Amino acid sequence: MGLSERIERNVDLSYFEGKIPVNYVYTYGLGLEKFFNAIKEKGEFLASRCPECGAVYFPCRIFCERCFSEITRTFKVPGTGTVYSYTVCHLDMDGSPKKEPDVVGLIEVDGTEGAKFVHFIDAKPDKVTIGRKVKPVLKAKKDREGGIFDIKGFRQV
Amino acid sequence: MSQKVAIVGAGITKFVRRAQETGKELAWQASKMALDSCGLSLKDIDSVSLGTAPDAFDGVHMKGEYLSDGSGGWRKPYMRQFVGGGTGVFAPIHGWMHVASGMFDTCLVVCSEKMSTCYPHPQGAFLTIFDHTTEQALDPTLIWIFALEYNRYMETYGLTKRDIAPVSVKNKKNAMDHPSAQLPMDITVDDVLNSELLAWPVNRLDISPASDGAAAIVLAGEHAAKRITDKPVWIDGVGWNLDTAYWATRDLSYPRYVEKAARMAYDMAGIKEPRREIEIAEPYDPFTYKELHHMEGLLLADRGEAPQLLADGVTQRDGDRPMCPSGGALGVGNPISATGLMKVIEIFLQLRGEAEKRQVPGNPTCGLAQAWGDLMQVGTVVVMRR
Amino acid sequence: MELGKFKLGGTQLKQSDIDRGKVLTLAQTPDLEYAWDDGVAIGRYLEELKNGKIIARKCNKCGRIMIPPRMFCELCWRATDEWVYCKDTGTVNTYSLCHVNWDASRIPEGEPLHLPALIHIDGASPGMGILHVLGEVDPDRIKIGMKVKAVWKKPGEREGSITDIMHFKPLRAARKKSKKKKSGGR
Ligand SMILES: [Zn+2]
Ligand SMILES: [Zn+2]
Repeated sequence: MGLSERIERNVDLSYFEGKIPVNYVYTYGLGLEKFFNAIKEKGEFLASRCPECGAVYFPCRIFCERCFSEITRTFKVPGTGTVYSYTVCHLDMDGSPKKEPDVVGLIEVDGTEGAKFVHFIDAKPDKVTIGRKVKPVLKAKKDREGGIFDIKGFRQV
Repeated sequence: MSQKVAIVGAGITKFVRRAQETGKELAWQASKMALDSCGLSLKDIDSVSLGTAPDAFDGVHMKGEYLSDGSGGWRKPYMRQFVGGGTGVFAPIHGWMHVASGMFDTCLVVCSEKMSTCYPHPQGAFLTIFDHTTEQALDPTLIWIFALEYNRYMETYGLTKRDIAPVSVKNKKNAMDHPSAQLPMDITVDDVLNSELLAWPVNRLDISPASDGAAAIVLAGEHAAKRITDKPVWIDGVGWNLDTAYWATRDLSYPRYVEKAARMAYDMAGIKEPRREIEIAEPYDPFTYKELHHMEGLLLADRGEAPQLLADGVTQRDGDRPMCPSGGALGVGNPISATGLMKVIEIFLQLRGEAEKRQVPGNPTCGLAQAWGDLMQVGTVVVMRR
Repeated sequence: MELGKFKLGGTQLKQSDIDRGKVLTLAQTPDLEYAWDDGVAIGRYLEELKNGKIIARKCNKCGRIMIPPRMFCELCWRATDEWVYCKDTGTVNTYSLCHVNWDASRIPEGEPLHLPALIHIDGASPGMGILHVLGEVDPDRIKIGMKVKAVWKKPGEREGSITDIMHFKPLRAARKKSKKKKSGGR
């Protein structure tokens, strides 16, 4: 006996509607706390280098995932970079068309030995090219809250 | 089985209600400490077994992937284990399989939890543990199922809350000597009975807290273990077992699935008389009655007899059969998976004679850690010897 | 190794650290909505609840009459065989007097408690219970082993849900004399 033999039309299925009623508050953690505070307070971008194996991380972290060493020091990088890859998003989260498509870039960050960072690229879709230099555009200091949108996006130079 | 497996190192964070660290930072703090404790570095680790509880707690889907860097999983054979509250003893069981099978000489076992992300508390995540169609509509809280089981346990053996409350007194007191402890307290039975009544028979001090925290151990095969340490603690038996998913139809007075898991572990370890041979145990104690319930399932007490052993002081640190000398989930805290692994670590330290003020007398040689979870239907057990 | 010789990780935050923005945090509420299919067995179970009946499913191998009904027997690991109507009465296997709501908020003093219970349904195999709530009862007089009966919503108000049974009330004695208790529905 097939367990679903009685059901020929999907729309006849009965169902129970519900949600998982949760709210989240994420702490940034020790690594990202430093990173986003530096952007917020000073407009600076912090990377870190593992004192043991030399691996470079951007944003800065408190440990090296490759050799597990503790990383206590950070260093400044200019925040500029190169378009490593990009995509053009025409649909919103809920599947509806966006008024203006978003250009989402994967940016190889200067001074980090190849670390990459995801953010928006402020450009028309047909003007974006892989390999172009980009620089970050920050919100005015008074509007910065310590978060990913303190960086408005990256602009091609 | 092609090789014996030993625990050679351990690490743990403090257990706190709300940590600033992310889950992966906590995982790293515990894992790094575990490696440091036995003089190893990440390159000495052949495989990683991660345990972590429902994704909904941390608000991170694919928590296994998310925690991988903090757990030392980078470019290694890495596997996540999950059986709800039973996870913390299930993860080392998987680590044991990795090494016992001969596939790997070492395995880093990590358990990390960040329950505080669910804000202000994880009840909404707990709600969807219940069957969506036949139970959720009744607006259950997780406490219901424990209150119902607690009540049935009392009814079956003619017990009262006063018989059970001393578990909280004992474990919170024991936790005063544990450096990770979140809720160490010196309280009386009346304090427990007079604490806020949540769902009769469950009062506030009958329940372990929600916690953030992480724990880690290093497992090594026989030859590697002897190179790494002169005090290996061997995992001689492992067992796990699951009861029916229809929790409302189980016999709530006795955890048969825990018995089955224990018998599996005892058989493997060659234990014939658990009450004589298991000198010290860390049964899972997220609620007061669970320590007693689990002692019975583990065959460390007759059915309904555990409260008498408690009353007689047998389960105190200086008693004949110490239970939860760490302070348990009730005292140290309950970051789900990390709690189970904390219990494994406690037995590891006790058998090595390194439990400091928590050390039980008599140089124990054989102990057990157990966890329990899913929809209160899984038992996970490891038996350890020095 | 002794734990006391290590500096343990884990930085304790206070509630005020979050409230006052002393550390950076990000608040988010996921917007996930689900439609859980009832499936074959539970679909029929709910349909029958709408009719004011409790239905179970029987496995002819082990002879168990199972509730909630299921299309396969998890013990014999085979398809179950027939539908069996149960009574709408049963026995309280265990219960709790719950002072908190599902979201951990406290039920205000003087308002009715939630009275969850496991009820073994008459006509199903021994030990076959469902989770439900008790009502029309003095909480202090609830006893394990007490006989109870389903209190149904009016036929027109039933919607094919477990809450078509508002609650179970004692068959006799222990009945609450004062005003009627509200059921626990959301
Ligand atoms: Zn490194
Ligand atoms: Zn059967």
